[in-house]
Amino acid sequence: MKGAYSTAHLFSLNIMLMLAWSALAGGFSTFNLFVGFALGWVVLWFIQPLYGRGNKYFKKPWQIGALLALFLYDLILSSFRVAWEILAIRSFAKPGFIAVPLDVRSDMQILLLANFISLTPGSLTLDISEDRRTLYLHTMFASDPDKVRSDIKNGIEKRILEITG
Amino acid sequence: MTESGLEWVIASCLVAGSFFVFVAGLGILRMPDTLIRMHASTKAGTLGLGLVLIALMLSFAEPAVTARGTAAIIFVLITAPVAAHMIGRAAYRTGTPLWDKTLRDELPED
Repeated sequence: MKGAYSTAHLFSLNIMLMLAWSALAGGFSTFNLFVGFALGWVVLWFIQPLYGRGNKYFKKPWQIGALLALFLYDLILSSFRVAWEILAIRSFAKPGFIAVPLDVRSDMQILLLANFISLTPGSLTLDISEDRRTLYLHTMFASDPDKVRSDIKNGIEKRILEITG
Repeated sequence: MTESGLEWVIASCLVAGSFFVFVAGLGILRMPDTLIRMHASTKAGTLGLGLVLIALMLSFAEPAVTARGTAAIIFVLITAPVAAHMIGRAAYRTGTPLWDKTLRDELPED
């Protein structure tokens, strides 16, 4: 039986638990549905020994949460840097273009990465090469292009590959 | 949380949000070229709008307002970078002049 349940299977079980909870709680309000889903997820996690451990279904929420946290952190940090750059009398910016080779392949992954880059400190996605292997960005702090590149490759791109791959 | 504590949170979100929106607007005036202006308007603008919407949701504390506020934040997060990307790409393809200090080493050929 190990690993016999697919992610889709677990998701539908989770939905059923959510509906059962809401019915027993006496109303299908948004709040009840939300609590039901969360509780169902916890219950399914708890009874893992019954159908095989290590399902992807339980890893994803953490990975998505971590990605979201990184995203918010980057957004706040970049806003402060940009605000400082705008308000300071002397300019520290060293704008430039950087080409980043891509490991992500699908449209969804590229979209996520491009959006993410546009909201991270001082970089803006500009274009993608014809063969979809290279992403061109404009950055405000290009004094060290290799560092910008490795930050993107080891940070965001790796996480996106983990979640979608 | 006490009543006045919540009000402090709401007030700080509003002030911080307004500050970032103001900075985004100022950045569009002050920055040297189109691409750098896009940095100002996407990042500071998104965070500022998000903070104002959070203050709004906390202040109303109604499910309908919270749902719409959350949806608005998500859509801004998804669409602001796309808009900046389209404007930036258009600017660079039509050959808008860049700031003198820009490093062009890895500029795409096109």
